[in-house]
Amino acid sequence: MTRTRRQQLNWLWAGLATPGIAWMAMFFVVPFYAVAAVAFGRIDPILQTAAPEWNPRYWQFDSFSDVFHRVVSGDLRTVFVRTLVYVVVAVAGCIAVGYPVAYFVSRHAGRWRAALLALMILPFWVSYLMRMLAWVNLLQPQGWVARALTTLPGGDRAWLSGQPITVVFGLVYGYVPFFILPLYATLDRIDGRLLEAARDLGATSKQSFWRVIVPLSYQGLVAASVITALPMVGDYYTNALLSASPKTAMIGNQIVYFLQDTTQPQIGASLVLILSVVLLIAMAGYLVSVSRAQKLVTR
Amino acid sequence: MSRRHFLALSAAGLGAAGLTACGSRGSSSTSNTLQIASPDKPVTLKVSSSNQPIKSGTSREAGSLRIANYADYVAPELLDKFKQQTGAAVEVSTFATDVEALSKIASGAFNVDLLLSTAVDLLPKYVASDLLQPLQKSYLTNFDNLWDSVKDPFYDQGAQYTVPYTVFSTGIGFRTDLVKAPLTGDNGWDAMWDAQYTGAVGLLDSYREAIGLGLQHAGIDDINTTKAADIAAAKAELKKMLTATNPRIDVLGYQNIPEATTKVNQLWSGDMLLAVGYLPAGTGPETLGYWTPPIAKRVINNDTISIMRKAQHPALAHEFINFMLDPANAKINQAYIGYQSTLRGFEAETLIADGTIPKNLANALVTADDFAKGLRIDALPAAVDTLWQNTWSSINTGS
Repeated sequence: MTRTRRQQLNWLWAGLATPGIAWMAMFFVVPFYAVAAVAFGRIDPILQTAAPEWNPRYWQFDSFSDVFHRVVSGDLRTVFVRTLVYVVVAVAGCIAVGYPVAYFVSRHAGRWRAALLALMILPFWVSYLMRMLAWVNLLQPQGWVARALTTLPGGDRAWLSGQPITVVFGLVYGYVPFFILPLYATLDRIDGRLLEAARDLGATSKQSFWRVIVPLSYQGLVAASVITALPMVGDYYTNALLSASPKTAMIGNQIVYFLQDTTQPQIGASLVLILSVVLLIAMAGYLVSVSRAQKLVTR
Repeated sequence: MSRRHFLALSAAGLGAAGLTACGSRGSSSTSNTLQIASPDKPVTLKVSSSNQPIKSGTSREAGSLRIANYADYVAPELLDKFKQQTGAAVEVSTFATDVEALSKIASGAFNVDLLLSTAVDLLPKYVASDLLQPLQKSYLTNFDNLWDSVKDPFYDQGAQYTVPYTVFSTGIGFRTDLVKAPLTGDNGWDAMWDAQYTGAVGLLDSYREAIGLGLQHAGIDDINTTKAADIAAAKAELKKMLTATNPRIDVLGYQNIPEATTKVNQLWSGDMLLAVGYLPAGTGPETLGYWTPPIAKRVINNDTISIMRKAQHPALAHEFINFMLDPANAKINQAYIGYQSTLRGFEAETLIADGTIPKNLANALVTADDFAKGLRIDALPAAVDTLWQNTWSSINTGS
């Protein structure tokens, strides 16, 4: 390929990517800036509603600073820590449930593979909210799942009233399809000849799984974990529907409260910004991990 | 699940009320001050010379009537009927909370003619910001159908800007077959602190109602208190409740009670009347019970209808209000939304006699007399309001 031809192709790809980049800029950067404008803006003195400040020169940081201190050492710390604990446990649950499923479908499903893939996509046909509402019916005292659970040790409890296990279960149930698909794509791409080589070199099937499959699927595992953890952190309706108790409240519930129910939207917007920074740190960790993996591959 | 408050869960997201508002630096949306009313301090809201009612006899405008309302807080059948009568379709924009409605109307995100459920405690803000237009009474030929006690309400003397839409009390809904003894007497609220109902208690997700309950349980009847010590006492009471009964905090009592997710649930009487429709098959309305305190300690509130100052169809909006004040239409509406109309003929005896509500829920109805005697949730000064909101935040995060 000539140099000119290569340059032409580069311009073509850049041109094709432009609408997508513009889309991202419009629907991520601009809304994010709007959140900052509310967080650092002012409050209408009569209406007590948000008056966003679009010019950064006039941003005020008092409210944000106050919220930050409440998160670090005040009344909002509990809900922040609780949210992170729930998300870590729920991601672990997703790994426990999702990894075997993705592994089986990608490597052992045989002729059932297409059907199982379709089943994996099936939950996307029904909205998250509707699937949670279904569990409200199943877990309410007269629901058949709740009644069935009463036959188990510790199963006789009000499942919809302040049970952390219900909220974590809801998070796992709701987000596990998002976990399985990217992991499946990674597992599916692992070259089968690598496993054959491992077996030829004397590895048992267990050893080849732990020393070949797991390391090669690590990046997919991290990607799937990040993809599920990010929305979980901001989730608010899983708790609202399956518990609605202060004992299980998540940070998303507080964001909605301040934005929607109060005359302090700047607090809600500040919480969004603080949460974004926390998530950015997690994303940065993921990107560093990807970068290291790519260096290993290209070494 | 949802009737009035479904969108409170599904439509919130990060961009709800706060992010839609806009304004410019250094300018207030108004130069007026708030006229905060209470039953013992009635208020005649200001009407400026530049904001006068439309002229009597103004012809109906062409086009659709646009209204803002809670989800499912008006009967669709009624909107169809209005279209049949006038030829004008009704387009409904929904909101999840009163504050969201105010924010969206003030910012122009809601370009509507009429607000079907204007909260009384936010009315001073609407008026001070010139968001409403005074009503032209000549259009409201059905105004006399209202109870006498609501024609000249304390929050809007002379009914210059509003007419009442619905009225409701705050109490406890319960399943008579699931509580040991039906709640009676003066201390029904104690049930919400009763450990025998742990995991089966519901508390309204409203900082005014919940902290108001905490105040009353602490022996403080001023549910509009501005004293930090009172609010701290209410918080302590609610913390005790959290420890004792681990309540659900939501606005789904109309669903929680009939489905037995909760056994005792603080709720609005309108939701109690609505709950009948959510009972499982084979469970009769006699299994529902409602308790509310004696009138001197009973919280009674109402929603109102108002017309936006920038309404593009003000004459049509007046026609719609008059339409809603027709008892036949109000009956259709109440059957759908549960909440009680304030028109004559919507008293307990009539509604029980015609089968609109079961006899055992008679106390969920507000009488014309109660309207003037109950405790009211009034507007709070901004700094106090912030204290209430932050107190509620620290309670409902379990901090």
